[in-house]
Amino acid sequence: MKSIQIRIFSVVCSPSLSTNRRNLIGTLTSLPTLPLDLIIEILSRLPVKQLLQLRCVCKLWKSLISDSKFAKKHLHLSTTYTLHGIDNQNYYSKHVLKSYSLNSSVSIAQIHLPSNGYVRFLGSCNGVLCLGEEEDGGDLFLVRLWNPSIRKFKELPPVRKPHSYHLGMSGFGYNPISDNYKVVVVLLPSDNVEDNGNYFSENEVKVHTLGTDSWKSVSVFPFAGVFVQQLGQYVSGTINWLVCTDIMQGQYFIASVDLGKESYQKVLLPDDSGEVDNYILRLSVFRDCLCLIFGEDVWVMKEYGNKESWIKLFTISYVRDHHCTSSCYIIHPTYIFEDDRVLLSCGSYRECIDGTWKHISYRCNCKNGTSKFIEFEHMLEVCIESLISPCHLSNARM
Amino acid sequence: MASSSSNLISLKTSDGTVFKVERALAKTMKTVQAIIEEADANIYMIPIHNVFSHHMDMIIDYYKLSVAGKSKEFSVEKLDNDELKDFLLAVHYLNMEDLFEVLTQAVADRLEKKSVGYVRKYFGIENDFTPEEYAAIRKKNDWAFKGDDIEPEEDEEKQEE
Repeated sequence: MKSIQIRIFSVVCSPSLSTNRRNLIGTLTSLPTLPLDLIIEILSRLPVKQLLQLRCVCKLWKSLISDSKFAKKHLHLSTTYTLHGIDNQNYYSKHVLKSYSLNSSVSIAQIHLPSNGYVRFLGSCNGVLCLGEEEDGGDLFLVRLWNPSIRKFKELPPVRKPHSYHLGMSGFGYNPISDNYKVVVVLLPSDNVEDNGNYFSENEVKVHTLGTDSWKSVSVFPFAGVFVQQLGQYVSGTINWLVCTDIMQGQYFIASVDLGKESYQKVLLPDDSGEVDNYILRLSVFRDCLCLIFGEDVWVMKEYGNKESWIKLFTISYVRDHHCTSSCYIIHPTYIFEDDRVLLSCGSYRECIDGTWKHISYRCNCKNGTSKFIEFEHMLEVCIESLISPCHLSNARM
Repeated sequence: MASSSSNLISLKTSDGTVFKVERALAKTMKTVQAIIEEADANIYMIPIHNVFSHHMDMIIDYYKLSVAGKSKEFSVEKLDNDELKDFLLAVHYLNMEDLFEVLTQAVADRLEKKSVGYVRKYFGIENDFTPEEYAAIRKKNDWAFKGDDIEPEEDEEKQEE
């Protein structure tokens, strides 16, 4: 009895037929056809650009590829990264957002940003970049979302900053609990510039939840210090910034905001990290975990928030006598990719003082000892390739 | 749970061949595992209906390589497109996670950068857009069809394998 049931089960579930059985049974189909769930598995492994083309295959595929659930599945499997830089060359002309693949310094796409003021990145999450533009002489900060892989824009409500405050830190991230995205900006009083424009004992924090039409003020950062990096790093529902409390003593911690609860937490650095120096310490993300780059050592926090879970993953060694790097005064890794590729941030002595760093993509082939350097024009933001549309990010019902 | 005292499980493929496989290999097949667990008494032989002996040969190859830590050496290059799809269906039926991922990635690799027409033919899909609808959607995504890494669009009539 049992074995008969099994036979029926197997026939119903897998309707495709191999060549042998086709001859025996004489069916209409001449090729094995794959069920939709298998097609979805295969499509979610294809590059975004091709998927946009494949929307032309048929009506079903058009709605499938545009579906946000499919976008999430594709994101989960995506391993392709792109780099983006803003060309603010001429303050009065339109700004250009240039996109690059990791393999070449020739940009793969350029778009003109409709802007009148200075444009900068506010954050990056799940393949969507968040851009901010300081209105020339005004109190408003314009905010937009942009997915460079699918070339979709969304304008968000502008954020108003109090007079004599400037935008200090920012972040853009996903809250998995409510399946929603938020933008966070930290506004700082501008008269603190004697110390450092990023000192934040006094501050205002505003949050915008996508789908709503405004920004709300939330409680301020309860800690004091200097932000080392302006752009927050998004990791599992939190945004994280590296903070320095005492540059002489090398005291650092990570200030984090939980996007769901809108509460703050201090995340501590590993104990035995060695001597810390502002120039070589960098907070990043690697394999969805917080990643700290100390010079050439890469540490990863396996369990978010748990100081004991920091482990040193590896040490990066790069060839210093290559023409790209030999003239650099400071050179340190800022982003680690899966395929042994590293993004290095570099500058000559002059450039360090001017703050005009640039990025170099470095890949070392350990098997044959070759290395490949690609030099980019300016500082870049890393973004993963995804189908996530900025226009469909919120699930809020207005 | 029904269990025979030996470490080998007998699997009978659609073409009547019996394979005696290690219990550990049978465990990677969730469909088979479910059958074993649901059976009241000992099962002598488990029929695996959508799987042929040539599939089992490859499954055993993959298993041996992955046990030796060499799963990256497993290749399906020698299979043509239909054979690969067929194998994927068999592995899908058996519900084998790792090998399923390897095969879906292999199919994706073969389809990467291929044109719309090629992909349609590969999956045996009919274009159900009217010419106007097709022109509209093609125009809307036009930028996605440009670039060095894109194969030129092919006519519906002349397809290459």
